[in-house]
Amino acid sequence: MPYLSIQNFKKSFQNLEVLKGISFDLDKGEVLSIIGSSGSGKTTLLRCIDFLEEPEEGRMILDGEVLLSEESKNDSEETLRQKRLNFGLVFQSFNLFPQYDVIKNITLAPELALNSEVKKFADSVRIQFGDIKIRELKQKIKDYRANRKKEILSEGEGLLEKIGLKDKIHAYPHELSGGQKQRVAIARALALKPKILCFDEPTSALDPELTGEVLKVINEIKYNSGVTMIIVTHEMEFAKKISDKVIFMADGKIAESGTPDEVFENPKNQLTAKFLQGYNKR
Amino acid sequence: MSFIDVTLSLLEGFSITCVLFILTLVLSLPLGLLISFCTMSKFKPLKAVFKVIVWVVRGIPLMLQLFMIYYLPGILSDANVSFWGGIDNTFYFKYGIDNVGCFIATLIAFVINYACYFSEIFRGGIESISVGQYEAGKVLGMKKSQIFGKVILLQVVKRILPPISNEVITLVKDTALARVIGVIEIIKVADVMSSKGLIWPLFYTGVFYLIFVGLLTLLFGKLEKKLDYFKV
Repeated sequence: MPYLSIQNFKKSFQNLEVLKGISFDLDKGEVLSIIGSSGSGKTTLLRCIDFLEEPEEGRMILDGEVLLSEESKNDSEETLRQKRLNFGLVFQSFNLFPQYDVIKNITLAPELALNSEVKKFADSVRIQFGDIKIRELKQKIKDYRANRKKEILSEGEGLLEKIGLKDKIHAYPHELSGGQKQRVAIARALALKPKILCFDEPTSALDPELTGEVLKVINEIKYNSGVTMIIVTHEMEFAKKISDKVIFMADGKIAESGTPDEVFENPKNQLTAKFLQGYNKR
Repeated sequence: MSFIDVTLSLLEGFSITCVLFILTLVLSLPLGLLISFCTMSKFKPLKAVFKVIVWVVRGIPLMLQLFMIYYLPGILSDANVSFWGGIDNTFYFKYGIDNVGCFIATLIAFVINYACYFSEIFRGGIESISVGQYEAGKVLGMKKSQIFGKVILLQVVKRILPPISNEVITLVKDTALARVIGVIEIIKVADVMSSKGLIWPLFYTGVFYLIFVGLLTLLFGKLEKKLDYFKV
């Protein structure tokens, strides 16, 4: 059974059919690149996977759990929030939080998630020691919270080291270059340890000389952490090198899919060939 | 009357001005936020109702609204006396409020009026924050309240400080309208003096306003500077 299975995703905006039945599978640790011209539905597909848009039709199964189906249409806000946590998303325009420094950008979400974690911990303590005094319980909770906070902080620092921005730990987003911002955004997405890490044209908003550093970080993540990734990109060379699978989308459908070799070197679909030719000419 | 006597009398009036100002601010800011949520609501009837309310309140002179709040309850309740005159005054008198009914009516009118203006500033501020900020919060598994409280709010505050300070300064001077329904604020005090032939205190009141507004300007300048550490 594949790790991630997308089945027959359909999505329209008003009368415009953007996704016309998209299906694909992905194994754990694989990197998938989605390529195609603007307006082909790549970003919409990614947003549907990340629960930022709701497809009208389709099923999604991740790690044996059905995340999206006919029944999930009535999911509560809370269920949806939990499901979203399976995915990390790096945006084209970074969307860092401007009022927080780099480390806080990375640790904010894990720290906020701590509240429910602490609640669970308190419940488990209560079950374990039925007759615990309130004062002791409070102390245990306090210690637990302090410990977890420390862990979150050191994990954040570790991530900063990985993306090579340890020296910018207390810088604010407006003090960073585009490439640095995007690297922080990647670290922020990784901090929640998502099962699938998604990238929505991560280098499209960057000056050409800055794309390299971001692509390098993505590459390192692939080889060091082995997280499953879906990358929507216009960087063909990069896609060719990093991907295990490539999907070429045209007009809301998958026109071609396969290994990078198959898609880039021997495209079977004329649309793919034409699209790639356009890129090679540049 | 000596200069000191005049100053003391005016200060008494000015304390009413200040109380009216502070209470209006404290009550209208949260109410304004609430109204802004209503005018941005996805529930269309609620949105429509509050859009109309904001339109009416911003469309009618504040002075007329004072008269409405002051007279309408009495007319509608069919009592022959003024509704607000019926409130027992003895308790408030020691705090320098001569006629608490008038004061409350004024306060209500001011709070509603300013809440509506503030709500539009809040709405503008909230809607100016890019969708990306909400989405970033969402994909990081934050709850709606967390996204608003931890991500959006401070950015909004930074954006709306200048228009809010404008509105707050206008409020200082709008308090002078309260005299039309009998609140004895600083200009009313000076007006009473001028009717007895002492004109200059009327102009002297301007100094009080200038000092107060000057302090507020400094305060808002400080707040803006405090939020200078990030850019939105």
